[in-house]
Amino acid sequence: MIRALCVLLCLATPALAHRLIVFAYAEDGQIVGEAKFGNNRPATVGEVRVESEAEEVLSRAPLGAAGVTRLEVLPEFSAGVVVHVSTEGGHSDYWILTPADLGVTD
Amino acid sequence: MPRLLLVLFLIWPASVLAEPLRVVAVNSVLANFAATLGGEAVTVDMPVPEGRDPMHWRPAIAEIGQIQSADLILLNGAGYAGWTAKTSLPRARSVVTTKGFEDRFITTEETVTHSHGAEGEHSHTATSAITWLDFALAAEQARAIAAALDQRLETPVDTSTLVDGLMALDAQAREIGAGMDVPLIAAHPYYAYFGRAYGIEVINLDWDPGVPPTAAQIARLEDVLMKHPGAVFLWHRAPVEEGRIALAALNVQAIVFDIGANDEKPFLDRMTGNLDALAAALGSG
Repeated sequence: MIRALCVLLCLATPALAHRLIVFAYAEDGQIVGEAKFGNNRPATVGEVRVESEAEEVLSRAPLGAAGVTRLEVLPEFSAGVVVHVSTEGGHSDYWILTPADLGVTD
Repeated sequence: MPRLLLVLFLIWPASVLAEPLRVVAVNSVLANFAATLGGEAVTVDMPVPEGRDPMHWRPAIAEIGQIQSADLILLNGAGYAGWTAKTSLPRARSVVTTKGFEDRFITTEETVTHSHGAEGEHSHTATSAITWLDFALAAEQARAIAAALDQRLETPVDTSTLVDGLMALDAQAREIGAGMDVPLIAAHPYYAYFGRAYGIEVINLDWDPGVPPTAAQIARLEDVLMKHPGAVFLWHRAPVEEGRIALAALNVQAIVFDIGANDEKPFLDRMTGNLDALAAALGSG
């Protein structure tokens, strides 16, 4: 009962979603997102969303095993993207990839 | 003629021919330090728009790209400017100006305790980020910038004027603190390092200068004033008229103590003005 209340509290209070750590980079035509909690435990239940600066969702995928998720780099990513990760426990974090990070040249 | 031009090229000072070092800073404090130390050998950019708080501002992706390409990127550290931890910045060209005194950061326990997953009940610590209001620490940040510039510029950087000025502020603040027997009441928790450095109790509220205070906020202030009559109130920027009136109605001495994070004024001038205003408010209380 107490755990259920605590989970509800976490879901209802986005301000508590602040201990997830996300890192992302581009490799071999893919964005690789790595998500873990502050205690180094990988985040494995949740979603990765690749968004434009205007917050348009360009791509999404469930969190992968060991907290690592791969998404194909699409032409729509060329102006840079924000990689958002949100977990079932109500934690969220993001990482910004610029065109240079994505290997996009002018 | 070509030979003459070649001779001129060879003897002309390299610093005149070299492009200025392009420096980007996360706030006006570090930008001002870099400009003061580097002079004409640097161009300094602080990209945060006027009126925005550099601590919470996030640049557009294109702006991050420009920042990534700077010759030198000055970061505050202590969690300041959260966006800098959310993107890749070139390590070799970035300076965390507080790296030398991380053991002296002020951390606070967040007030919310929660429990979820396997972690069980826990709370989180938060680091106070406005380090430069301890002017001795600001001098260390200035020295860190100077060291970074020295590695990149032809001419050694002279820190004496800036550091002497910061230590003079430190001495002035220390004198003010030594003479205080009332706490400061802060509209926002920006003054932790100032309070610790100068032996001043700071009571933090959570007032937005841009918004009229609520009845609950005024009641809370009244409670504080019951325990600490004569306390001086610090706004971090000029308040709306309702805020000014609310404090006047309670006979509270209030000043604007601008923390200088997004500021046209040179840091030493701004802080001298802040300290003079504080001393005057304390003297008239």
